[in-house]
Amino acid sequence: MFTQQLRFLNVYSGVTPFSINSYTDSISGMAYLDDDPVFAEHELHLMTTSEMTEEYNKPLAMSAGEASNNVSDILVVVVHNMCLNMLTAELKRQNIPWTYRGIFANACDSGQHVLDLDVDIPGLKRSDCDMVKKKLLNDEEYNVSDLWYISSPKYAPSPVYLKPHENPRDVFKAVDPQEKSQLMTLPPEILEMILSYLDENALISLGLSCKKLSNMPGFWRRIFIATFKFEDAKGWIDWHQYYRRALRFRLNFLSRARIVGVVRHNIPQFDSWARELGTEAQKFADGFLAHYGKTIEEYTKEVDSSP
Amino acid sequence: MVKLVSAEGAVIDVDRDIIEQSALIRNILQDVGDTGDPIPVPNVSGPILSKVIEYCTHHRDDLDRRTRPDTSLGGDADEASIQRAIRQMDEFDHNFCKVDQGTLFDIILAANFLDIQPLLDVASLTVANMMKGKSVEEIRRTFNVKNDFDEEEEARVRSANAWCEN
Repeated sequence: MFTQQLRFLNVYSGVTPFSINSYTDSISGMAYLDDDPVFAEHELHLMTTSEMTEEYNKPLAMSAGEASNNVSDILVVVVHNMCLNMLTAELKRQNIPWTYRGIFANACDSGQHVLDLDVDIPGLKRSDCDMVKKKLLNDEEYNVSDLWYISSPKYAPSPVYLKPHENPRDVFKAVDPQEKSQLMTLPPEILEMILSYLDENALISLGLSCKKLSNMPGFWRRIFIATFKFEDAKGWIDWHQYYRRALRFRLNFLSRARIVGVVRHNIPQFDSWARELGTEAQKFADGFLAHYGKTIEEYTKEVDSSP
Repeated sequence: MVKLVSAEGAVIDVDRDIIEQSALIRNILQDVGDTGDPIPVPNVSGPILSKVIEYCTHHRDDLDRRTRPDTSLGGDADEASIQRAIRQMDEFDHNFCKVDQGTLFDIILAANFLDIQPLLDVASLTVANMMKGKSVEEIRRTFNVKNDFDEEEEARVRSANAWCEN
Protein backbone atom coordinates (compact mmCIF):
# COMPACT_ATOMS: atom_id res chain seq x y z
CA MET A 1 0.00 0.00 0.00
CA PHE A 2 2.64 2.48 1.08
CA THR A 3 5.12 1.44 -1.59
CA GLN A 4 2.49 2.10 -4.22
CA GLN A 5 2.86 5.73 -3.28
CA LEU A 6 6.58 5.74 -4.01
CA ARG A 7 8.29 6.43 -7.29
CA PHE A 8 11.79 5.43 -8.24
CA LEU A 9 13.63 7.98 -10.32
CA ASN A 10 16.48 6.07 -11.83
CA VAL A 11 19.39 6.33 -14.17
CA TYR A 12 17.96 3.65 -16.45
CA SER A 13 14.55 4.71 -17.59
CA GLY A 14 14.16 8.06 -15.89
CA VAL A 15 11.39 6.85 -13.64
CA THR A 16 9.88 3.51 -12.78
CA PRO A 17 6.29 3.28 -13.98
CA PHE A 18 3.79 3.79 -11.25
CA SER A 19 2.57 0.59 -9.59
CA ILE A 20 4.09 -1.63 -12.25
CA ASN A 21 7.67 -2.41 -11.45
CA SER A 22 7.60 -1.13 -7.92
CA TYR A 23 5.22 -3.02 -5.73
CA THR A 24 4.91 -4.83 -2.47
CA ASP A 25 4.72 -8.56 -2.34
CA SER A 26 2.02 -9.20 0.22
CA ILE A 27 3.48 -12.59 1.15
CA SER A 28 7.10 -11.66 1.70
CA GLY A 29 6.37 -8.07 2.61
CA MET A 30 9.22 -6.94 0.39
CA ALA A 31 9.17 -3.93 -1.85
CA TYR A 32 10.48 -4.58 -5.35
CA LEU A 33 11.96 -2.45 -8.06
CA ASP A 34 12.46 -4.05 -11.43
CA ASP A 35 12.31 -7.43 -9.69
CA ASP A 36 15.05 -6.48 -7.24
CA PRO A 37 14.06 -6.57 -3.59
CA VAL A 38 14.48 -3.10 -2.22
CA PHE A 39 13.13 -2.84 1.29
CA ALA A 40 11.03 -4.79 3.70
CA GLU A 41 7.72 -3.00 3.89
CA HIS A 42 8.02 -2.28 7.58
CA GLU A 43 11.30 -0.47 6.90
CA LEU A 44 9.57 1.97 4.61
CA HIS A 45 7.53 3.28 7.48
CA LEU A 46 10.64 4.20 9.40
CA MET A 47 12.64 5.89 6.66
CA THR A 48 12.41 9.13 4.83
CA THR A 49 12.80 8.97 1.09
CA SER A 50 16.34 10.31 1.25
CA GLU A 51 17.27 7.55 3.68
CA MET A 52 15.74 4.98 1.37
CA THR A 53 17.75 6.43 -1.48
CA GLU A 54 20.90 6.22 0.54
CA GLU A 55 20.21 2.64 1.60
CA TYR A 56 19.24 1.55 -1.89
CA ASN A 57 22.33 2.96 -3.52
CA LYS A 58 24.77 1.56 -1.01
CA PRO A 59 24.96 -2.05 -2.24
CA LEU A 60 24.35 -1.28 -5.89
CA ALA A 61 26.96 1.40 -6.17
CA MET A 62 29.53 -0.95 -4.77
CA SER A 63 28.79 -3.76 -7.20
CA ALA A 64 29.63 -4.43 -10.82
CA GLY A 65 31.36 -1.13 -11.38
CA GLU A 66 28.00 0.35 -12.16
CA ALA A 67 28.67 3.61 -10.48
CA SER A 68 30.83 5.30 -13.08
CA ASN A 69 28.48 8.06 -14.00
CA ASN A 70 28.27 11.75 -13.32
CA VAL A 71 25.61 11.55 -10.70
CA SER A 72 27.71 10.77 -7.66
CA ASP A 73 27.14 7.04 -7.86
CA ILE A 74 23.42 7.42 -7.36
CA LEU A 75 21.34 5.01 -9.39
CA VAL A 76 17.96 5.50 -7.84
CA VAL A 77 16.26 8.34 -6.05
CA VAL A 78 13.16 7.37 -4.11
CA VAL A 79 10.44 10.00 -4.17
CA HIS A 80 6.89 10.34 -3.00
CA ASN A 81 4.48 10.20 -5.88
CA MET A 82 2.64 13.21 -4.57
CA CYS A 83 5.84 15.24 -4.47
CA LEU A 84 6.81 14.19 -7.95
CA ASN A 85 3.36 15.03 -9.26
CA MET A 86 3.51 18.46 -7.69
CA LEU A 87 6.95 19.08 -9.13
CA THR A 88 6.00 18.05 -12.67
CA ALA A 89 2.71 19.95 -12.44
CA GLU A 90 4.58 23.07 -11.42
CA LEU A 91 7.13 22.62 -14.22
CA LYS A 92 4.29 22.26 -16.71
CA ARG A 93 2.54 25.30 -15.28
CA GLN A 94 5.68 27.37 -15.68
CA ASN A 95 6.26 25.99 -19.21
CA ILE A 96 9.68 24.67 -18.26
CA PRO A 97 10.91 21.76 -20.39
CA TRP A 98 11.55 18.70 -18.24
CA THR A 99 12.26 15.00 -18.40
CA TYR A 100 12.34 12.42 -15.64
CA ARG A 101 16.06 11.95 -16.31
CA GLY A 102 16.49 15.69 -15.94
CA ILE A 103 14.70 15.62 -12.59
CA PHE A 104 16.78 12.63 -11.57
CA ALA A 105 20.02 14.36 -12.52
CA ASN A 106 19.05 17.50 -10.60
CA ALA A 107 18.07 15.43 -7.60
CA CYS A 108 21.42 13.66 -7.70
CA ASP A 109 23.37 16.88 -8.08
CA SER A 110 21.66 18.42 -5.13
CA GLY A 111 22.22 15.36 -3.01
CA GLN A 112 18.54 14.53 -3.41
CA HIS A 113 17.57 17.60 -1.45
CA VAL A 114 15.47 18.81 -4.29
CA LEU A 115 13.14 15.92 -3.71
CA ASP A 116 13.67 15.40 -0.04
CA LEU A 117 10.50 17.19 0.66
CA ASP A 118 9.73 15.76 4.01
CA VAL A 119 11.68 18.35 5.87
CA ASP A 120 12.93 20.87 3.34
CA ILE A 121 11.45 24.19 4.25
CA PRO A 122 12.12 27.28 2.15
CA GLY A 123 14.16 29.81 4.04
CA LEU A 124 15.52 27.25 6.47
CA LYS A 125 19.15 26.24 6.24
CA ARG A 126 19.76 22.62 5.39
CA SER A 127 21.43 22.09 8.76
CA ASP A 128 18.28 23.37 10.45
CA CYS A 129 16.17 20.99 8.39
CA ASP A 130 18.42 18.12 9.36
CA MET A 131 18.18 19.09 13.00
CA VAL A 132 14.41 19.15 12.76
CA LYS A 133 14.39 15.82 10.97
CA LYS A 134 16.61 14.27 13.59
CA LYS A 135 14.43 15.57 16.34
CA LEU A 136 11.29 14.29 14.71
CA LEU A 137 12.77 10.89 14.11
CA ASN A 138 14.13 10.64 17.63
CA ASP A 139 10.74 11.46 19.04
CA GLU A 140 9.43 8.50 17.07
CA GLU A 141 6.34 10.51 16.37
CA TYR A 142 6.98 11.29 12.76
CA ASN A 143 6.12 8.86 10.09
CA VAL A 144 6.71 9.72 6.48
CA SER A 145 3.73 7.66 5.48
CA ASP A 146 1.50 10.12 7.32
CA LEU A 147 1.65 12.23 4.21
CA TRP A 148 -0.89 9.95 2.61
CA TYR A 149 -2.95 9.33 5.60
CA ILE A 150 -3.77 12.94 6.25
CA SER A 151 -7.28 12.74 4.94
CA SER A 152 -8.24 9.74 6.99
CA PRO A 153 -9.54 10.50 10.48
CA LYS A 154 -8.71 7.01 11.63
CA TYR A 155 -5.05 7.94 11.49
CA ALA A 156 -5.46 10.89 13.80
CA PRO A 157 -3.09 10.62 16.73
CA SER A 158 -4.24 8.76 19.76
CA PRO A 159 -3.97 10.29 23.21
CA VAL A 160 -1.04 9.60 25.48
CA TYR A 161 -2.50 8.41 28.74
CA LEU A 162 -0.90 9.17 32.05
CA LYS A 163 0.21 6.38 34.30
CA PRO A 164 -2.01 6.06 37.36
CA HIS A 165 0.56 7.51 39.73
CA GLU A 166 1.16 10.61 37.63
CA ASN A 167 -0.84 13.53 38.88
CA PRO A 168 -0.30 16.70 36.85
CA ARG A 169 -1.05 18.83 39.91
CA ASP A 170 1.96 17.34 41.65
CA VAL A 171 4.09 18.85 38.94
CA PHE A 172 3.14 22.33 40.06
CA LYS A 173 5.56 23.10 42.80
CA ALA A 174 4.54 25.19 45.78
CA VAL A 175 4.76 28.88 45.11
CA ASP A 176 7.80 30.57 46.54
CA PRO A 177 6.57 32.95 49.27
CA GLN A 178 9.17 35.44 48.05
CA GLU A 179 7.57 35.42 44.62
CA LYS A 180 7.04 39.00 43.55
CA SER A 181 4.63 38.24 40.75
CA GLN A 182 1.04 38.30 41.95
CA LEU A 183 0.09 36.28 38.93
CA MET A 184 2.25 33.46 40.17
CA THR A 185 0.66 33.53 43.60
CA LEU A 186 -2.84 32.90 42.29
CA PRO A 187 -4.27 29.47 43.11
CA PRO A 188 -3.84 27.00 40.24
CA GLU A 189 -7.58 26.71 39.62
CA ILE A 190 -7.81 30.47 39.05
CA LEU A 191 -4.77 30.46 36.82
CA GLU A 192 -6.41 27.70 34.82
CA MET A 193 -9.52 29.78 34.53
CA ILE A 194 -7.49 32.70 33.17
CA LEU A 195 -5.91 30.31 30.69
CA SER A 196 -9.34 29.35 29.44
CA TYR A 197 -9.77 32.89 28.11
CA LEU A 198 -6.49 32.87 26.18
CA ASP A 199 -5.96 32.01 22.55
CA GLU A 200 -3.19 29.76 21.23
CA ASN A 201 -0.63 32.53 20.70
CA ALA A 202 -1.14 34.04 24.12
CA LEU A 203 -0.83 30.62 25.73
CA ILE A 204 2.41 29.95 23.90
CA SER A 205 3.85 33.31 24.96
CA LEU A 206 2.77 32.68 28.53
CA GLY A 207 4.30 29.21 28.53
CA LEU A 208 7.55 30.59 27.18
CA SER A 209 7.69 33.33 29.77
CA CYS A 210 8.23 31.03 32.72
CA LYS A 211 8.81 27.34 33.33
CA LYS A 212 6.50 27.31 36.32
CA LEU A 213 3.64 28.56 34.21
CA SER A 214 4.14 25.95 31.52
CA ASN A 215 4.27 23.30 34.25
CA MET A 216 1.11 24.35 35.94
CA PRO A 217 -1.86 22.04 35.93
CA GLY A 218 -4.08 22.41 32.93
CA PHE A 219 -1.62 24.42 30.86
CA TRP A 220 -1.13 21.84 28.12
CA ARG A 221 -4.76 20.85 28.15
CA ARG A 222 -5.65 24.49 27.61
CA ILE A 223 -3.14 24.91 24.82
CA PHE A 224 -4.52 21.75 23.24
CA ILE A 225 -8.07 23.10 23.40
CA ALA A 226 -7.04 26.52 22.08
CA THR A 227 -4.99 25.06 19.24
CA PHE A 228 -7.30 22.35 18.05
CA LYS A 229 -10.65 23.85 19.08
CA PHE A 230 -11.36 20.56 20.74
CA GLU A 231 -13.92 21.17 23.45
CA ASP A 232 -14.11 17.72 24.93
CA ALA A 233 -10.57 17.66 26.21
CA LYS A 234 -11.06 15.68 29.38
CA GLY A 235 -9.49 12.64 30.88
CA TRP A 236 -6.35 11.35 32.49
CA ILE A 237 -4.19 12.25 29.56
CA ASP A 238 -0.68 13.58 29.23
CA TRP A 239 -1.81 16.68 27.40
CA HIS A 240 1.72 17.88 26.73
CA GLN A 241 2.61 14.73 24.81
CA TYR A 242 -0.79 14.58 23.15
CA TYR A 243 -0.44 18.21 22.08
CA ARG A 244 2.96 17.50 20.54
CA ARG A 245 1.64 14.44 18.75
CA ALA A 246 -1.39 16.26 17.44
CA LEU A 247 0.79 19.16 16.34
CA ARG A 248 2.92 16.80 14.26
CA PHE A 249 -0.24 15.47 12.72
CA ARG A 250 -1.41 18.94 11.85
CA LEU A 251 1.96 19.74 10.33
CA ASN A 252 1.69 16.68 8.15
CA PHE A 253 -1.74 17.85 7.22
CA LEU A 254 -0.19 21.06 6.05
CA SER A 255 2.49 19.24 4.09
CA ARG A 256 0.84 19.68 0.71
CA ALA A 257 1.08 23.45 0.96
CA ARG A 258 4.63 23.12 2.24
CA ILE A 259 5.62 20.84 -0.64
CA VAL A 260 4.28 23.30 -3.20
CA GLY A 261 6.35 25.98 -1.47
CA VAL A 262 9.45 23.81 -1.59
CA VAL A 263 8.93 22.93 -5.24
CA ARG A 264 8.54 26.59 -6.22
CA HIS A 265 11.64 27.40 -4.22
CA ASN A 266 13.67 24.64 -5.85
CA ILE A 267 12.73 25.04 -9.50
CA PRO A 268 14.80 28.19 -10.18
CA GLN A 269 17.83 26.58 -8.51
CA PHE A 270 18.59 24.59 -11.67
CA ASP A 271 19.31 25.82 -15.18
CA SER A 272 17.59 22.91 -16.80
CA TRP A 273 15.09 20.24 -15.85
CA ALA A 274 15.54 18.42 -19.15
CA ARG A 275 19.29 17.90 -18.98
CA GLU A 276 20.99 14.87 -20.48
CA LEU A 277 22.94 12.32 -18.50
CA GLY A 278 26.71 12.39 -18.67
CA THR A 279 28.40 10.25 -21.30
CA GLU A 280 29.18 7.32 -19.02
CA ALA A 281 25.80 7.33 -17.38
CA GLN A 282 24.13 7.62 -20.79
CA LYS A 283 26.06 4.60 -22.02
CA PHE A 284 25.03 2.65 -18.98
CA ALA A 285 21.39 3.67 -19.31
CA ASP A 286 21.37 2.77 -23.01
CA GLY A 287 22.74 -0.65 -22.11
CA PHE A 288 19.87 -1.12 -19.70
CA LEU A 289 17.29 -0.10 -22.29
CA ALA A 290 18.83 -2.38 -24.90
CA HIS A 291 18.75 -5.27 -22.41
CA TYR A 292 15.02 -4.83 -21.89
CA GLY A 293 14.44 -4.08 -25.57
CA LYS A 294 12.72 -0.81 -24.87
CA THR A 295 13.32 2.78 -25.76
CA ILE A 296 13.14 5.67 -23.33
CA GLU A 297 10.07 6.87 -25.24
CA GLU A 298 8.33 3.58 -24.55
CA TYR A 299 9.13 3.89 -20.85
CA THR A 300 7.88 7.43 -20.85
CA LYS A 301 4.68 6.30 -22.55
CA GLU A 302 4.18 3.68 -19.84
CA VAL A 303 4.72 6.29 -17.19
CA ASP A 304 2.27 8.67 -18.80
CA SER A 305 -0.40 6.01 -19.05
CA SER A 306 0.02 4.88 -15.47
CA PRO A 307 -2.49 6.13 -12.88
CA MET B 1 -28.81 44.17 56.38
CA VAL B 2 -25.79 41.92 56.78
CA LYS B 3 -22.64 42.94 58.63
CA LEU B 4 -19.33 41.86 57.16
CA VAL B 5 -16.05 42.11 59.03
CA SER B 6 -12.99 42.70 56.85
CA ALA B 7 -9.48 41.45 57.49
CA GLU B 8 -8.64 44.60 59.45
CA GLY B 9 -11.76 44.27 61.58
CA ALA B 10 -13.74 47.00 59.85
CA VAL B 11 -17.51 46.32 59.84
CA ILE B 12 -19.31 46.98 56.59
CA ASP B 13 -23.10 46.91 56.29
CA VAL B 14 -24.57 45.60 53.07
CA ASP B 15 -28.05 44.65 51.84
CA ARG B 16 -28.70 40.94 52.04
CA ASP B 17 -29.93 40.69 48.42
CA ILE B 18 -26.70 42.34 47.29
CA ILE B 19 -24.26 40.19 49.19
CA GLU B 20 -26.19 37.02 48.42
CA GLN B 21 -24.43 37.09 45.06
CA SER B 22 -21.67 35.54 47.11
CA ALA B 23 -22.36 31.82 47.32
CA LEU B 24 -20.30 31.67 50.50
CA ILE B 25 -22.35 34.32 52.34
CA ARG B 26 -25.61 32.94 50.92
CA ASN B 27 -24.79 29.49 52.28
CA ILE B 28 -23.84 30.90 55.69
CA LEU B 29 -27.09 32.84 55.89
CA GLN B 30 -29.06 29.78 54.83
CA ASP B 31 -27.27 27.56 57.32
CA VAL B 32 -27.26 29.74 60.42
CA GLY B 33 -30.06 32.16 59.58
CA ASP B 34 -29.92 35.93 59.75
CA THR B 35 -28.88 36.31 63.39
CA GLY B 36 -27.56 39.81 62.90
CA ASP B 37 -24.10 38.66 64.00
CA PRO B 38 -21.25 40.04 61.90
CA ILE B 39 -19.82 37.59 59.38
CA PRO B 40 -16.03 37.59 59.33
CA VAL B 41 -14.33 37.78 55.94
CA PRO B 42 -10.76 37.39 57.09
CA ASN B 43 -9.21 36.97 53.65
CA VAL B 44 -10.49 40.24 52.25
CA SER B 45 -9.30 43.71 53.16
CA GLY B 46 -11.72 46.58 53.72
CA PRO B 47 -10.99 48.48 50.48
CA ILE B 48 -11.30 45.30 48.42
CA LEU B 49 -14.49 44.30 50.22
CA SER B 50 -15.89 47.72 49.35
CA LYS B 51 -14.98 47.17 45.70
CA VAL B 52 -16.69 43.79 45.76
CA ILE B 53 -19.80 45.32 47.27
CA GLU B 54 -19.70 48.05 44.62
CA TYR B 55 -19.71 45.35 41.95
CA CYS B 56 -22.51 43.39 43.59
CA THR B 57 -24.58 46.53 44.07
CA HIS B 58 -24.35 47.39 40.41
CA HIS B 59 -25.41 43.89 39.39
CA ARG B 60 -28.00 43.30 42.11
CA ASP B 61 -30.77 42.95 39.51
CA ASP B 62 -28.83 40.82 37.02
CA LEU B 63 -30.40 37.50 37.85
CA ASP B 64 -28.91 35.89 34.74
CA ARG B 65 -25.45 36.29 36.13
CA ARG B 66 -26.36 34.63 39.38
CA THR B 67 -27.76 31.56 37.67
CA ARG B 68 -24.98 31.02 35.17
CA PRO B 69 -23.33 27.63 35.51
CA ASP B 70 -20.25 27.30 37.63
CA THR B 71 -17.08 27.35 35.62
CA SER B 72 -14.43 27.45 38.25
CA LEU B 73 -12.87 25.18 40.82
CA GLY B 74 -12.53 22.15 38.67
CA GLY B 75 -15.42 23.09 36.43
CA ASP B 76 -14.65 23.67 32.79
CA ALA B 77 -15.30 26.94 31.04
CA ASP B 78 -16.54 25.76 27.68
CA GLU B 79 -16.53 28.01 24.64
CA ALA B 80 -20.16 29.01 25.18
CA SER B 81 -19.64 30.12 28.76
CA ILE B 82 -16.47 31.96 27.80
CA GLN B 83 -18.33 33.80 25.08
CA ARG B 84 -21.16 34.54 27.49
CA ALA B 85 -18.73 35.97 30.02
CA ILE B 86 -17.21 38.16 27.32
CA ARG B 87 -20.65 39.36 26.17
CA GLN B 88 -21.79 40.04 29.70
CA MET B 89 -18.86 42.28 30.42
CA ASP B 90 -20.54 45.66 30.22
CA GLU B 91 -19.14 49.15 30.40
CA PHE B 92 -19.38 49.19 34.19
CA ASP B 93 -17.33 45.98 34.35
CA HIS B 94 -14.67 47.39 32.05
CA ASN B 95 -14.38 50.50 34.18
CA PHE B 96 -14.58 48.49 37.37
CA CYS B 97 -11.53 46.49 36.33
CA LYS B 98 -9.49 49.56 35.40
CA VAL B 99 -7.49 49.33 38.58
CA ASP B 100 -3.87 48.69 39.37
CA GLN B 101 -2.68 45.12 39.05
CA GLY B 102 -2.44 44.55 42.78
CA THR B 103 -6.06 45.54 43.30
CA LEU B 104 -7.17 43.44 40.37
CA PHE B 105 -5.51 40.30 41.75
CA ASP B 106 -6.91 41.04 45.21
CA ILE B 107 -10.38 41.28 43.65
CA ILE B 108 -9.81 37.91 41.98
CA LEU B 109 -8.80 36.35 45.29
CA ALA B 110 -11.76 37.95 47.06
CA ALA B 111 -14.19 36.79 44.37
CA ASN B 112 -12.73 33.32 44.66
CA PHE B 113 -13.03 33.30 48.45
CA LEU B 114 -16.53 34.72 48.48
CA ASP B 115 -17.46 32.53 45.52
CA ILE B 116 -18.86 35.25 43.29
CA GLN B 117 -18.51 33.58 39.94
CA PRO B 118 -19.45 36.50 37.65
CA LEU B 119 -16.92 38.77 39.34
CA LEU B 120 -14.28 36.07 39.08
CA ASP B 121 -15.10 35.77 35.36
CA VAL B 122 -14.84 39.48 34.74
CA ALA B 123 -11.58 39.90 36.64
CA SER B 124 -10.01 36.77 35.12
CA LEU B 125 -11.04 37.89 31.66
CA THR B 126 -9.40 41.25 32.32
CA VAL B 127 -6.13 39.55 33.27
CA ALA B 128 -6.39 37.35 30.17
CA ASN B 129 -6.92 40.44 28.02
CA MET B 130 -3.78 41.93 29.54
CA MET B 131 -1.86 38.91 28.25
CA LYS B 132 -3.30 38.74 24.75
CA GLY B 133 -1.14 40.06 21.94
CA LYS B 134 1.89 40.44 24.19
CA SER B 135 5.30 38.99 23.47
CA VAL B 136 7.03 36.73 25.95
CA GLU B 137 9.13 39.61 27.22
CA GLU B 138 6.12 41.89 27.55
CA ILE B 139 4.29 39.26 29.59
CA ARG B 140 7.31 38.91 31.88
CA ARG B 141 7.47 42.66 32.33
CA THR B 142 3.74 43.19 32.79
CA PHE B 143 3.32 40.51 35.43
CA ASN B 144 6.77 40.69 36.96
CA VAL B 145 7.35 37.07 36.01
CA LYS B 146 10.87 35.81 36.54
CA ASN B 147 12.36 33.88 33.65
CA ASP B 148 13.28 30.58 35.27
CA PHE B 149 14.44 28.89 32.08
CA ASP B 150 18.17 28.48 31.69
CA GLU B 151 19.58 29.35 28.25
CA GLU B 152 19.55 25.81 26.97
CA GLU B 153 16.02 25.15 28.14
CA GLU B 154 14.75 28.37 26.65
CA ALA B 155 16.37 27.61 23.30
CA ARG B 156 14.84 24.15 23.34
CA VAL B 157 11.37 25.39 24.18
CA ARG B 158 11.55 28.18 21.63
CA SER B 159 12.68 25.74 18.98
CA ALA B 160 9.85 23.35 19.81
CA ASN B 161 7.33 26.14 19.62
CA ALA B 162 8.67 27.40 16.32
CA TRP B 163 6.48 24.70 14.85
CA CYS B 164 3.45 26.47 16.12
CA GLU B 165 4.18 29.36 13.84
CA ASN B 166 4.13 27.25 10.67
